[in-house]
Amino acid sequence: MIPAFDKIRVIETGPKPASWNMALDEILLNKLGDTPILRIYAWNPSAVSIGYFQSIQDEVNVENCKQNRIDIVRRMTGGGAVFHESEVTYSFLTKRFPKSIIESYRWICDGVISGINKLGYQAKFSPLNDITINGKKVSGNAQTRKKDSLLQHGTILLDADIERMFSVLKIAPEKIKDKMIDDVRQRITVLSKSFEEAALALEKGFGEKFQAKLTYDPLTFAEESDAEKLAKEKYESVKWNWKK
Amino acid sequence: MAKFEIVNPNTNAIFYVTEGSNIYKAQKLIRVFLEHENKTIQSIRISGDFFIHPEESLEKLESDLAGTKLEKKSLVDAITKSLENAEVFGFDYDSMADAVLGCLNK
Repeated sequence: MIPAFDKIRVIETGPKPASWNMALDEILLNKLGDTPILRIYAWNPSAVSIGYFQSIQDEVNVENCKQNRIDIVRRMTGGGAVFHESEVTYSFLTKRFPKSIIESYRWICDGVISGINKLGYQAKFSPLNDITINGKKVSGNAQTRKKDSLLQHGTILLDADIERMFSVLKIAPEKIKDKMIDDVRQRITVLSKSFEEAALALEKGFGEKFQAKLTYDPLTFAEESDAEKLAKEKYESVKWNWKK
Repeated sequence: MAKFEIVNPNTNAIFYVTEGSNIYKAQKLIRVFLEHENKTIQSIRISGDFFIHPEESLEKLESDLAGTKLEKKSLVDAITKSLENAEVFGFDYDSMADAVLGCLNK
């Protein structure tokens, strides 16, 4: 049993480039103290993130991304390629968590579910790493552990332009694309809410789940500049993004 | 499958390396690209949307599989040993061995 947190530091960083978003997660993870952090953010420009074990060549239509000014970045977490456009994205970082990976996914996803359900939905955890509403996926999540700290980040869909998503992700041969689009439409759902409504509900959901006081605490100058440096050095580099 | 002739510059010995690749659907998708000679892995690259903790374990697995015979038991044994300190979600070791062996047919 993990004791409740006294407080959670909440950081709202708004829409940012993919490399900066991923760099900030790494900076916050490496410098995490005893207070857990909930960061709420978005992506500008839109972006594709690929899982740590994936290859851009296999997963992403790079030309279409270039033409549409869509960022591409490798995450430090596993899982699949994600097109980030109309969604709320969160990162939760903590030093206290269940040791079992499945349990820790459930434990953190309960915070997300608590937030979604505040908006009038009945969301459920779907192991290993998804959240569903009426059996349809609304949120995907991924985590990594470094030393004694855990980072889980995830998305909550607010809208889904599946044709656009399929134009940037290599999902299927052209001839079965239409069927795949229909299939994905059957399997996912979105929250019909604004970013602000969903973000606020998510923050409240985490506060309630962990019985913690939320303290809104913007990034320090050092955190921001460290993230900019790491974004350039790592998350915009060919060495990292084309690792596989 | 593509086959390449390689000459060892020190001994002038000629050997043949065959390339193969496979996409295999376990619980998650596994993609394998390998080079092999005499049914032995020379090098291997594994990617996919699975999860392995710690993440560096996949690089260790790719390195540990070099020199392994392309036979089910040898592969499962090597994968099990290599990942003994890792936690894997999205495939079991039998599936990973099958994903690797599938490269021989393609």
